[in-house]
Parts: sequence; C-alpha cells; structure tokens
Amino acid sequence: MNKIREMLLEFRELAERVPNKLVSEWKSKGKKVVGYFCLYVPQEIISAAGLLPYRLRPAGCNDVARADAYFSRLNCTLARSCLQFRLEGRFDFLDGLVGMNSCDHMRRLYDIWEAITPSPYMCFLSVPHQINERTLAWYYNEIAGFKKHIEKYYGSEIDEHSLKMAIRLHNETRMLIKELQELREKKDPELTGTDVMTVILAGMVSPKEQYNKMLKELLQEIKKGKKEPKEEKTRIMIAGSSFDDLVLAKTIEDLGAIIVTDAVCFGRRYVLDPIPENGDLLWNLAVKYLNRSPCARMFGGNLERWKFIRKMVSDFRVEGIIYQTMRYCDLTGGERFYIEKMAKDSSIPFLHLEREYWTGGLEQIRTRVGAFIEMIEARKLRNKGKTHHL
Amino acid sequence: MSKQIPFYKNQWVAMKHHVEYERSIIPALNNVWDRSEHYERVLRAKEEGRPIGWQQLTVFSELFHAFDILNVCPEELPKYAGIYDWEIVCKVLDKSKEFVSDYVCSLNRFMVAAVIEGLVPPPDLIIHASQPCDAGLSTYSAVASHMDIPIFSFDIPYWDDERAVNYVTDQVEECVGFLEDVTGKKLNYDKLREVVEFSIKAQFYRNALYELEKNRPCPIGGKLLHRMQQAWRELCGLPGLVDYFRTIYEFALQNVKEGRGFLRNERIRLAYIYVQHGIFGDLIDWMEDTYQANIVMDYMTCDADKFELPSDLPTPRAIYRFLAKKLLNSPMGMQSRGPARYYFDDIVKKCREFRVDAAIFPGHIGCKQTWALASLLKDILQDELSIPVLTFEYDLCDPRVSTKEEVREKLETFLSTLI
Repeated sequence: MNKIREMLLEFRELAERVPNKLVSEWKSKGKKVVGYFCLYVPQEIISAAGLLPYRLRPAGCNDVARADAYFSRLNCTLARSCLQFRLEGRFDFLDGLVGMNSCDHMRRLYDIWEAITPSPYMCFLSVPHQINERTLAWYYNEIAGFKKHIEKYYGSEIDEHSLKMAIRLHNETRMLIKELQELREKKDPELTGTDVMTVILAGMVSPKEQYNKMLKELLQEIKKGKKEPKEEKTRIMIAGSSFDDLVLAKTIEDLGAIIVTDAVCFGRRYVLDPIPENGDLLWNLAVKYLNRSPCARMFGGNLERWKFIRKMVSDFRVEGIIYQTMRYCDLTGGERFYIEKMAKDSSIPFLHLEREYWTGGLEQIRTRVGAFIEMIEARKLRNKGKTHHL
Repeated sequence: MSKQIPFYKNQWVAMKHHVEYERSIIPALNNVWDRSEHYERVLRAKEEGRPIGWQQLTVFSELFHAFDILNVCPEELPKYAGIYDWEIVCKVLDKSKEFVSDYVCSLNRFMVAAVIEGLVPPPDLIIHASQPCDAGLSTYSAVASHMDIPIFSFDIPYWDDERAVNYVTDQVEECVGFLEDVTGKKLNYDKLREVVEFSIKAQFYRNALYELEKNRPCPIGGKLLHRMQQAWRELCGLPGLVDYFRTIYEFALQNVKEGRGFLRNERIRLAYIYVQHGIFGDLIDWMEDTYQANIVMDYMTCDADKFELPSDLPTPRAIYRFLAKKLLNSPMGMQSRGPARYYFDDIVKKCREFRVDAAIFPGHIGCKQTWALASLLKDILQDELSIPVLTFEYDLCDPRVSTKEEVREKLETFLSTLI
C-alpha cells in the first residue's frame, strides 16, 4: 500500500503544481502547450498537431485582486482565478488558448484574456447548446475549422495518421480513468474519492503518454495489493458545478464519507466511450464529444443529466448527493430545483452546497456535510432489516 | 403565498399607463391603436380558448401573431407588477430562493417561482433562445422540464456571419413545425407573410426614427425609447404597430424640422450602454427636468442599423431568413451572445454617431457576463472618445438591491460634474 501512496503523491504533485514537472520537461524540448477550459474542446486535435492540451486549473489560487481590476464581484471565482493566474504570469507557459462558449463567465474570461494579455495562439469554438443532427453538423464544422486554424498557425499538418494516433492515445487515457473510477463501485474501495480525483486532475494537465504509463502502473499496483478491511463509509456523489477542489473533497471524506462517484467535468463526465479510429475521424470526434453526458450548458438536457446522476447512484450504490454550485454559476444555480426534485422523488438524500472556487468557509461546510452524513446514517439505521434499493 | 396573483392584469394596467404617458407627449397617438388592447386579450385568452405563449425577451413576436397565439414576455411581468406593488415582487423573489440560487437573474428567478408556485398560470408553450445569458438558458430549460411545458429553443451561435444566419433560418422553419404540432394548426403562409410585412413596415419607421435621434437636440426622450422597445418586442407584426411607429416618427421629424428638442434646452446627451433602470423610471424624468439630460442612445433600441430590411419576401425561406436576422440582432442578444468586440465596437460607434457627452452603465446585478466587460468598456470609451462613464449596481426588478435614493445619488454626483 505504501507504494500506492507514493504513486499518489506523484499524481498529487502533477495535479497541484502549475506547471508541473512533466509540462516543464515538455517545454524544455521546445514543444508547445495549448490551454483549454472546457470538455467540449476536442483535445485530440491539439495532440495531433504535436501540442500538449492543457486544461486550465488555477490550482491553489486564493486571491483575485488583480483579476478584479477587470472582472466584477459578480463573476465566478473560477474565471477570476484563471485571470489572476494569467496576470501573475503563472500561465505564461501556455503558447495558446482555445476558448468556447461554455458559460458566460468563461467566455468573458476569453474576451478579457484576448483584450489585455493575448496568448500567441488563440481560437474560439462556437459549441451548440443542444444535441441533434443540425447542431452536430454545426459542431463538426467548428472542429474542422479549428483543425485548419491550428494547422495553419503552427505549420503542422494534422493528417489521418496523426489524428488516429491522438484518438488512440486519448481513448487509452479515458479507458484507464474509467477503470480507476470503476474501482469505486466496490463495497470498500481501495482509493478515496480524493485520491481518484487527484489522479484524474493530473491527467488533464500532463502529457498523456507519460500519464497513461503512470496510471497503468497504479492500476496494476492496486490490483495486486492486499486490502485491509475498512469501516464502511457513507457513499457520496458530487454533482453540480465544475469541481476540482481536493481540499474540499478531503474535508467531505474526513467527515466519515467516501466520494464514490460524481457527475462533474473534472471527473466522471471526462470519460467517453472509445472514439472509433476508422471512417471520418473528425465526425467521430464530433459525435462522441457532443453526445457526452450533457453539461448544464446544454439546453433541455435536464432529464439526461438526471438520468446520468441516477445511473451513477445505482451503479455506485450512492447514499447521498452533494450538489455543489459555484457562486454566480447561473447554469447550475438555475437548474438546481429540478435535480433536487428528482432526487427527492427518488428518495435520494440531497444536499445543496454553495461555494467559491477557492476553499473558504470550511467550518460551515463541515457542519452542513456532517449533518447530512448523520442524516443518511440515521436513515440507514431506520431502514436496517428492510430491503432498500435506491 | 396566495394563489394566482393577477400578473397578467397588472401587465394590462401598466400598458394602459404607458399609453397614457405617450399620448400626453405625442397627442397624435390618441388617433392610433391603443396597444393595451393586446394585453387585455391576454386576460381573456382562456375563456376564448386561445393559447398563451411565453416569448423569451430576445425572441421575435411574428410567429406568435401568425399562429394567433397570445404572447407574453415573462421577464417583463415583475416590472409591470412592480409598478403597483413592489412588495409582492419582493415576496416572489424571496420565495424563488427555494428553487434557484439567489444570484441568478431576478427576472428569471421571478419566472421560476411564479410558475412553480402557481402564482401565474403556466403557458401553453414557450419559445426561447440561448441568448443572452446562462440564467435564461438554465431556468427556461428547467421550468419546461419541471412543468412539462412544450418549448422550442433557438440555438444561437456565437458568430455573426452567413453561416450563423443560415443555421438560425433552419431553426425558424423548425419552430414553425413546433407551433403546428402544439397548436394542431397548419401555418397559414399568407397570414405569416402579412404579419411579417407589417413588421417590416413598423421597423422601417423605427429605423428612420433611430436616424433622427442622432440630431442635436434629440427630438425624442429616453423614456419613450424604453417604452417603444417593449412595444416593438411584443407587438411586431400587428398592423397597429405600424401606425404607432409612424406617428412617433412624424412627431420626431417635425421636431427636427423646427429645430426643437424633446427637452427645452438639451444640455447633456447620454448613452445608456445597458438597460435603463425602468424600475426607477421617474429618475429619467428627474434627470430631464433637473439637468436637461436626455438619453439619446439606448442599449435596447440601438439595433436599427444592423441589417437591411428586405424589399420583398418571395419565398417562405426569405421570411424565415428575415426572422433569423432579427433574432440574431435582437437588443441584448446581439451585444451578449458573441465576442466582446461586437459589444464594444457597436457601443463606441454609436456613442460617436450620437455625439454623446457621457455614458451610463446601470449594471443589473444578474447580468454577469455584461458586468465582466464593464471595466474594459469604460476604459475603451474613455480612451477612444474621452467621455466619462458612470457604472453602478442595481437590480432590474428588486428595489432592495439599490434603492431609488441610492441610484439618484449616484446619478446626481455624476451629472453634476458634467455641467
């Protein structure tokens, strides 16, 4: 188990340091890094151009004073923290930035970034807010345009072979992550939710070749390890806004819970079914990316989002949902009542937490989450002896 | 809360007051259709067996009228209700916290609480667009799912090009199919053509009026611009609206010919680079009286130069294309949906054309994406045009966020420096 802990520390280092050592090594070879905010940006295209796709995470940011010269207090702290990192020079290793209309805050982040501190390469994708044949055709054209744009700027042609290899590489990453996540279906998972989240986050900010190798080794180590039986913990799922807060995840788990799954884009929603490596590769990317479990930005996706949550609840034997919303996130803040009602109708305990990007107000969160876990435990006791399937 | 608050009735009464106000300024409007009649029909919709459709604030009205659906813009309801009773608006907003987060746009929060609590009857259908903001997108989507209300949502692209126009034109055609399904009636194409022809005529006068507003002194007042916008959004396609805009245009033209301004002695020409504080509408009167300050350029009515009106409509596709362009260039939508430079370039161009002395950004706290640009826009206007910009927070329908006195104080301090 010590070996696993050592490996997890390495992943933690990759996830938390901006830029991490693998990115620095990549850059030291004269290679370029292109940042992106959102999962609807197909990373395979960036990889196929010989560039490193890097998902922007202002890890550890707890001051947005410089960003607030541009943003207002009414903007979410994720967007403000990203700008703060940019203004502090901590994202200077980025050679490019790909934005999209993810949400109002992030697209305005792109606007401000472009206006005051443009990256050498910048590109924006107009991603539809619905999923149907028409929107798929639009999205296909957007990513085809993105491919041409990035080829032209970097002078590196993305041919059939390079795109196929990039798809293969990212498919492997996603399958390994899926395998890691599925370990949590068990009654007594080997890794905590915080551990798993750390590993996934590391993958979003590291070269995939090295990351996949590390993740394979971790999975092998877990498989061969002997497990000590542990006390069974309350099985929690995280849903709602973007969530990459390892401190908050650990705080929740320290209260006697284990985060067994999630429905967020830094977690389970990152995983896609394998993208086919034959036929029209751009089309394959468009189909898989647009049809992924819908983000709250997708209009009319309420029921699909609920179904995804419901499936996770069932597959991972979730006992309670923590629906966290980043303050000023209108997408999740506006949808909350629908998901809450569906959870209540299914008798699934539901807790709404509002938070900032940086970890603050932990005492209040501890009190509320602690009470939530107690409530679930009390319910379990009441139901003891009864058959209860969520 | 008591059930069924008469928000639709409030809307009708508010509209009657709007009409009275306009007629007091432009007596010739006494001979023109009283548009409050449209809102009275909304009250009778149920007994007459006619459907009510909710029209999101950037969506065009023409398809509603072609299908004989009575349209209501739910974002306007708290504003109308507030004219008589702000307490009830505040109560609904407080109630809304049970459903949506308190930072979500109050116009959308009001809608959620009002319909889920049964304070307003659910509409028979909704037409929505994925602009201008996330709050509208998430709340309309969730309300429709929660209440099982048929909804059509336009997917609005980020870009402003031919591809975007074609993309939205296809959706207008799909929206016709949606309305046919929900109402059980086939589109009467001749009626749609007639509706759109009325719309184009009204827009012709509106555009001509827009050009007249550039005159110094400005021939019409800012409050009128605000009221005209409400009429334009909901009533385009009705024949009475053509007369309405023509009459206002003729009034303004006469003023220009006689060198007469809307204000006796126009001293300050203002650009409102975000939505007017209609909630404190009497502050506009106060600015006019006290400072002879007129809003000559208004964020919600400055779309007139966006595209050429078609001279004929030979095919259904031509009609759908006109409506698509109208949607893409709708006030608030056009500034909000795409790159910041659309908004910046447009505002700078218009502040220059309208020769304004200062700009005011009355920032609705629910409008986060516009707030994200407020600082940059202020710098741009100061750098490029050397005009001062006042920025302040308030809420479009919650007077507790910034009180009228607080807003007045900010305006007073700012306007005093301009004289």
